[in-house]
Amino acid sequence: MSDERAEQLIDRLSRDLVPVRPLPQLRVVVGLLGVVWLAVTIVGVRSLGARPDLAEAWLGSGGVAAVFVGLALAGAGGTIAALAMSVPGRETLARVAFWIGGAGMAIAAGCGTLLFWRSPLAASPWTADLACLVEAIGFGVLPAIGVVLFAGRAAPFRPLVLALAAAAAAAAIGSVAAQAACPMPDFRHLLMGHVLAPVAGAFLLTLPLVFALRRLQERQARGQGANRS
Amino acid sequence: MSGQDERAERWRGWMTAAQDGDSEAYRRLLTELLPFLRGVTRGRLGDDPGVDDVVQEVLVRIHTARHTYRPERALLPWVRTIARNAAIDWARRQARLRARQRDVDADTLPAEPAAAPLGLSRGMLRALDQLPDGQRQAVMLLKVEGLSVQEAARKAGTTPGALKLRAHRGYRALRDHLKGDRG
Repeated sequence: MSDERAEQLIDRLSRDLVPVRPLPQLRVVVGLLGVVWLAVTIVGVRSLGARPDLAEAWLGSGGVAAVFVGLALAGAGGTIAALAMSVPGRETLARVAFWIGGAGMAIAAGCGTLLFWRSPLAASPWTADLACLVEAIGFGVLPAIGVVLFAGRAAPFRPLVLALAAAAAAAAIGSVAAQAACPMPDFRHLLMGHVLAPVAGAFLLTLPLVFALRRLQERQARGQGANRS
Repeated sequence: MSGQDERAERWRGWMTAAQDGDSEAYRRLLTELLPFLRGVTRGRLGDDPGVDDVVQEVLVRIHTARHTYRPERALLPWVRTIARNAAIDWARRQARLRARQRDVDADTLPAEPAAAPLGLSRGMLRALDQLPDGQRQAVMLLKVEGLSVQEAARKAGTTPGALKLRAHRGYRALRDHLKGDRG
């Protein structure tokens, strides 16, 4: 009985089969998103004005450099994890990327907190923190949309987790770019305006990304359904 | 090349052909995959009677996600993930359904004095009358005749999952009718 039903279903599925184009390779998508992020960063930093002492600020202190390496790892890890989560059979890559992103976030938070602990003097107003958070999210939005467009064409298993990873990663990597245009010297701002960016990004972007992802999935399913019927 | 490698290669070739629109290769692939899918699903769900339903869902998911397979990668991990995810989703859905059913059982089927055939009150009979045929049949088979889900599904000529869904909708409609009668 069950075999019969399965065979009927197989007949139905294979009867009107239409050709499909395989998804692009993940490494190609990651490369494309990297190019998009770089282009947004160059345009954004140019329009905002690059920080004059950028090399000194980043390389002069090991702690500050570690914060940005951590944020970059969080951004790259989270983005790759989100992409891999949407393709069946890539769970190992997703898990590894997820852990790398988590480790990056831990490094950024740990180093940022330590720097602030040692030198808690605050020179910047909270509006500067807010401006940098907004810039970080702005710099990350396009790559996040890219992740969702890819995932919407693929087969994501847990859209909410995927969107959360993509949103936090987008803001993390956007925060690295925002720092290039940020003139604030104090560590409280580094912590509140940059290290917290992934949290703010996750808070603000996750739901819109989930919504967009669901809509794309519905559209994809309708397309496939037309093929099935 | 071992037998398993040959089989994996053959399946990979069929899948690639299916992506190009070869229905015969696709039919063969899905037919050969059936025992494997059943094995993965049973590995997750044990002897659960829903295994066959999940296998069918996996076939549909393979169909809708066939473009996510990359020809240069192994096919089995891709298929296994789809099967495992479908089994996890099904188990979660069932757990939610059971929890809801428990709530409905506790809230909506009050023990009223028997005043009509079958030991049901007039209000309940009236409410049952207003249900669509499928839902009424499901509720009657499970709650009045006291059959198990399996037996009831067989008698109704449907799957246990579908019967549970009908019954659940029936309970909800009954609750609304009875509330309306009381209010």
